[in-house]
Amino acid sequence: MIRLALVGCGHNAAALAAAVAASDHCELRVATDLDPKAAAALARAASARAHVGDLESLLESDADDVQAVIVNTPNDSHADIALAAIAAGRHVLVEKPLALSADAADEVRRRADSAGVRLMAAHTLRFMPANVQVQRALAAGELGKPGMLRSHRWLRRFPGPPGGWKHDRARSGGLCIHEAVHEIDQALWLIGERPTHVHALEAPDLLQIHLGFASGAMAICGVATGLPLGSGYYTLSLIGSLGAAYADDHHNMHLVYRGGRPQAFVSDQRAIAARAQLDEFASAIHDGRVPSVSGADAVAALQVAEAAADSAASGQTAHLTETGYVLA
Amino acid sequence: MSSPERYRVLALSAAKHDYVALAFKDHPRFQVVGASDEPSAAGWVHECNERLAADLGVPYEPGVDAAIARHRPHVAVVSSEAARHARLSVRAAQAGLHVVQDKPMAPTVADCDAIVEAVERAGVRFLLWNRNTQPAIEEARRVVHAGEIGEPRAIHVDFFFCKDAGVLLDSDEPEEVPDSWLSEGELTVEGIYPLAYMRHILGLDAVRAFGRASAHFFRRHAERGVEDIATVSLEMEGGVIGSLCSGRIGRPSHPNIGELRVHVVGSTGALVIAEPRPEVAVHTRGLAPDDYRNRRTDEETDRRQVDLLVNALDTGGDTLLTARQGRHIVATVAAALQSARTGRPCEVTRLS
Repeated sequence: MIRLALVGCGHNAAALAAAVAASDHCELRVATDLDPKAAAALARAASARAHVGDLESLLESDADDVQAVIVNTPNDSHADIALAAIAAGRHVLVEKPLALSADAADEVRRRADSAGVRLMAAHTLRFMPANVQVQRALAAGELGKPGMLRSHRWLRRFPGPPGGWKHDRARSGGLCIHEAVHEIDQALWLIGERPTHVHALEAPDLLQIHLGFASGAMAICGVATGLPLGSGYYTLSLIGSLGAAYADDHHNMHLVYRGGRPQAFVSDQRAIAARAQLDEFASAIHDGRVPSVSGADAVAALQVAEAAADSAASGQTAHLTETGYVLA
Repeated sequence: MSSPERYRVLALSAAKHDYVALAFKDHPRFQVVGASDEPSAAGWVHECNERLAADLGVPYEPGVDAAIARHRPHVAVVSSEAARHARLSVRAAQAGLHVVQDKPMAPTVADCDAIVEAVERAGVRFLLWNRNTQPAIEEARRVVHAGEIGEPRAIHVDFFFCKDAGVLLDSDEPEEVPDSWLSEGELTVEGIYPLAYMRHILGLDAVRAFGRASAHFFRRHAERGVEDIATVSLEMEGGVIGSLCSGRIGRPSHPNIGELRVHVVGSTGALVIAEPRPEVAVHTRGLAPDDYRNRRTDEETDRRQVDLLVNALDTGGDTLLTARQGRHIVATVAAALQSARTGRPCEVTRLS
């Protein structure tokens, strides 16, 4: 069992704790947060110990009790916390984005490599059960050569007050860095190439990223973050030369009748994905190997996300080079 | 001027499809009076025309001017090869005929401009055949126009035809499709449908396009330098973000004609529709591998399009997809393909 500390007991912490509880390979020893109430509440719910205060003191005092750290704090603190954990010799699973910039993420990756600890970014879409099937079909050659990827993910409006960190581009990184880095990682994973062209369009609560690849493959990824509370929708199509795969809530809807019009819903795949992601992290630690979502993968996704952000801001297309990109 | 009890229809070529002209058969307000084409058309085109004429129970008489003089039609239905669309449609409009034309409107924006000019100068109606009367599309339009999802913010259309286009790029097999097969490019030919959905559902046009296009799967497409798949990002009027994925993606890719879907994100909600639905899945012994398993439940969409045309002809109002709107769709496709070649977004040209 991998002994974990969860750093950041706010948004998403309950889901992460539930994933740990469901895992046969991890256990949550410590829940820590700057807010004593948040740390205490999560610790109580997860049968863990609460820690309030700086991370260094936790890592020093619990050298034998905590093998790995899950970083679940606001985006602008990911890199610093990860670096502190790495410096203390802990393996790290970092909520996406790994950092607010590709350069900062690459620094985290290099430090982890030097320290010999496992670093994984939480690109959870790779672990969604439907996506796992799509990738398996692709890897088995059933779909042939990938030609087109289309994905859309619609989220409810960011929770929390308007002044919260998710609404602050300086702290969240904006839609490209905070949300679409998921879609970008997914596209790089499935198409299997770094794009040559990145063109993005952004409007309030909306982002569309268009990727072109040297092989001729292409991808369109959309994220909407302004839907009414309770809404959520996920859909992906991958078109290959020998076939196509459709991972799609629309196709997998269930109906419930409880008065009024029938209501459609889809089974929640996120909990399964969170557990599978955690198991992969634990397995990589146990086996002493690089996790399936590596630090390099997280850096690559952030490089494209930065290009997308600049494309959206400028109205131009980012043409990726060996070392960066130019807008034209 | 009062409307005729029945509009006389002349079919001008069925090189591409017969269904456009057949939609007028037995309609109470139309009478198909003949079929014609240019005498110089290819032999296989004349054979298509003869089959259509037989299905319609009318004579086939090559020689367009003579057929117009003899039958005095009100409406011409044009479904030739795309390269002849503009010539036939302009000729019909100049003869004072309303025009119903198959897609694509024309291979170039300049050809479309010529059609618009001829139609507007003659004061006749023009309908670019489309799929906007599919029930799901009509419902999406109703939901959006009723404000049920607030102000539209984004629209996406998937438009995939699950048909083959001969052998795959890396195949050693001999080519399956004949040389006469047109293969004019999938976005070029089929792009009208998803772009017409966007126009119909939102009432907005594209102003700028970024596109990617590739002959990614089929050898015939690669040999002819046309795309079999394409993705397009659109900046639309009112700041709306649009996108479409389109292509001929191979027979094994879907149990039905293909994935045809529309997303609309609004300020207070969103919708997802599948164009073919509602549908019924029918699985039986004896189905060939190419037979579709899903059957649509609505068989009246073409007839509704014709009904709407009647209204436009009777009142002098707009058709479901006018010449100007069709021209803008071709300009949008042209901008997307130009963008795919240059790697840069392109403005969609407007007709003054």
